[in-house]
Order: sequence, then C-alpha cells, then structure tokens
Amino acid sequence: MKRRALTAVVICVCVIGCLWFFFTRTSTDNARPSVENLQNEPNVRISKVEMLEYSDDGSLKFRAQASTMKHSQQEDIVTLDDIDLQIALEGGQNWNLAAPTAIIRNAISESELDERPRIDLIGDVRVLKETDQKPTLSLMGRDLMYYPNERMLESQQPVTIRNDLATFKASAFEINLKNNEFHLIGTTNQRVDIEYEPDVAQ
Amino acid sequence: MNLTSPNSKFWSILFVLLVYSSNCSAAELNGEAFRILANDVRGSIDGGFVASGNVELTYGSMSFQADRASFEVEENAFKGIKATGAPVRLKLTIDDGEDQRTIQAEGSSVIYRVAEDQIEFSGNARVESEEISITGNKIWLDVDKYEIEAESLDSDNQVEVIFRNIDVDEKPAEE
Repeated sequence: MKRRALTAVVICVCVIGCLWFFFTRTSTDNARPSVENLQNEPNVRISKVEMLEYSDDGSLKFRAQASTMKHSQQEDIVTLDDIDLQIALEGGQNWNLAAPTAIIRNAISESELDERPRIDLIGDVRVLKETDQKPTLSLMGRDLMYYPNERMLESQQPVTIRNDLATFKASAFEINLKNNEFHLIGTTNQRVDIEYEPDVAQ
Repeated sequence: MNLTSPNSKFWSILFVLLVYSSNCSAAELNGEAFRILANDVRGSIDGGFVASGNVELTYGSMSFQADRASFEVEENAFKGIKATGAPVRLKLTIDDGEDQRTIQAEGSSVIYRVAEDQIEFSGNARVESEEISITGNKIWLDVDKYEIEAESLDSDNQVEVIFRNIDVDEKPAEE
C-alpha cells in the first residue's frame, strides 16, 4: 500500500515538473516582450549619422559623425558609437575629438536640470587641435567629459598631451578649448611630468 | 611678468668674483629639454605655464627644487624661469674638460634668464662650491662666464665670502 502511494507521488511530481517546464519554456519563447523590458531597449536607432551646425556666416561650427546613434527611452540617453566631433572656434582653431562611444544624458529629474550639459566620451579618446589647418596639439586619454557650453574638456584619468614644444603627462586634467588654458593635476605617487624643449630667446 | 636686468638702486656692497677662467667651455644648456615634475600645472597651450607643489626641474647639468616655478614665454620664445620656495635649491655641475665642479645655491626667489645664461638668487641667497661660499641679499651667477656677483641691500647685512681649500703660493714675489 505504501509502495503504491509512493509510486503515485513520484509519478505526480514528474508529471507536474514536465508540465511546469513545458509551459514556462513555451510561454517565454512565444510571449510578447513586456513594456518594462522594452524600456531598456533603444526606441530609436539610426545608422551613419552626421550632424552639422553652421555659423551665421555659413561656416561650419560643429560636426558630429557616428556609425550608429541610439536613444534609450527609460534613461533618456543618446549613445553614439565611433563618434568623431569637429568643433570650429574663432581664430581658425579646430578641435577634433574621436572616441569609441559617446553618451549624452538628458535631464530626467529636477535636480539634473541644474547640471551642465555634458558629453561623456568613453574609452580611448584622441583629441587633435588644428590651427590654420596645421596640427598643433594632440591629446590621448580615457573617459573624457566635454561640456559644450563652456567648451571645457576634462578627465579624471591619466592623459598625455603633446605640442611642438612639450609633452605633458598628468593623472587628471581640464582644458578650456576656447582660451587654450589648461590645468594638469598629479597625485602624490604620480606627479605631473613635463618634457619641455622650448625655442630659446636670444 | 618681465625679467628685468639686475639694478643696484640700494646702497650696496658689490663683490665680483671670477670663479673660473673665462676660457672654460660654456655650459651647453641651450637646446636641451627641461624635465619638470610637479603636483599641479596651470598654463596656456600656446604660452608659458606655472608648476606648483614639490617642483623638481632638471635642465642639462642644472637641477633645482622649488615650491613654485613659472615658465615665461613671450611671442613664442622662452624667456626664463621664475621660481620661489622656502628655499629654492639649485645644483649646477660644471665640466670644463679637466675638472667637474659642483655649485650649490639657494634663495627664496630664483630667476633664470635663458638668453643670458644668468641665474639670480634673492632672499637669503647663498652660493657654495668646494672653494668658496658667498651669502648676500642678491647673488647673480653667470653660467656662461662662470662669474658670481653678490650685493647687499643694507649695511647690516653685508656680503660674506669664505674661501676654502685655497692653494697659497709660498714663493716670494720676484722684484
């Protein structure tokens, strides 16, 4: 009697297990994605993006090129892959910023409205400055932040900056692209290191 | 900031000393690269810059430590360095082909004029080598000619010169 009851229980468990596996699997495969799941996915995806902005005199002021542009609805984030930014400033100065990924976050709360507009350049970032179409400065760094309103570029990651006269290595930095002023920051273990070979006044 | 030439406006004791003969080979500083280490650097991409916090500089045979050093550039030409510290310490090795001599110097303010190869020390200034020690309010070291000029700004604080290890010629002077 006991053996029969035990066999019945085992068979029931097996049948219930099989049914549970079958239903959960088929429902996952066939069910339509929920709204919650969709919110994590981009609601806009554009390939081969080029954005251009012109000055009043018709000259190019800003150009952004990217292989793809995605917009995430939930966090209101725009992600640009293989980004290449060209910023033209007064005096024939051109800044070129290239990075594997750029992220632009739009304010989604009141506290974020007070924050400065910012573009995060993620990964290895290369910055070139051209004056009158001649390269005058190069910068290699990681994870840079660009503040377009202030024309400020900064990072808390190690950076190497080279121009005709000097090579600067620092643990963190800020550069104002408009007036060309920079601030290089070192640490106790890793001070700012400069190799400077100037033209000597005679 | 202008780097002006030394100007004796005050009552002074002037001491000019030819430390080494002028036919010694000039220190070949020009054309070499500066190496600068500092905690913090601010400046302009197209101009000079200011290094501050534990500044260490080497340039050819010269090295110095300072709290702050300003690299002066005018019209894309490098003019010199202004350094301050408590004190600024400088070490200069001069190799004249036969001997190698070391000059150590300090002052609360140091100005290096690259074009003139001249270093000005002020504020408890002191220049020392194996042969001589000089203290004064202001001392100028001409790196090219190996000349030292010292000045006191008041009568209470005269220039002090101490000679060491001087070989005395004991032969009687011929008449």
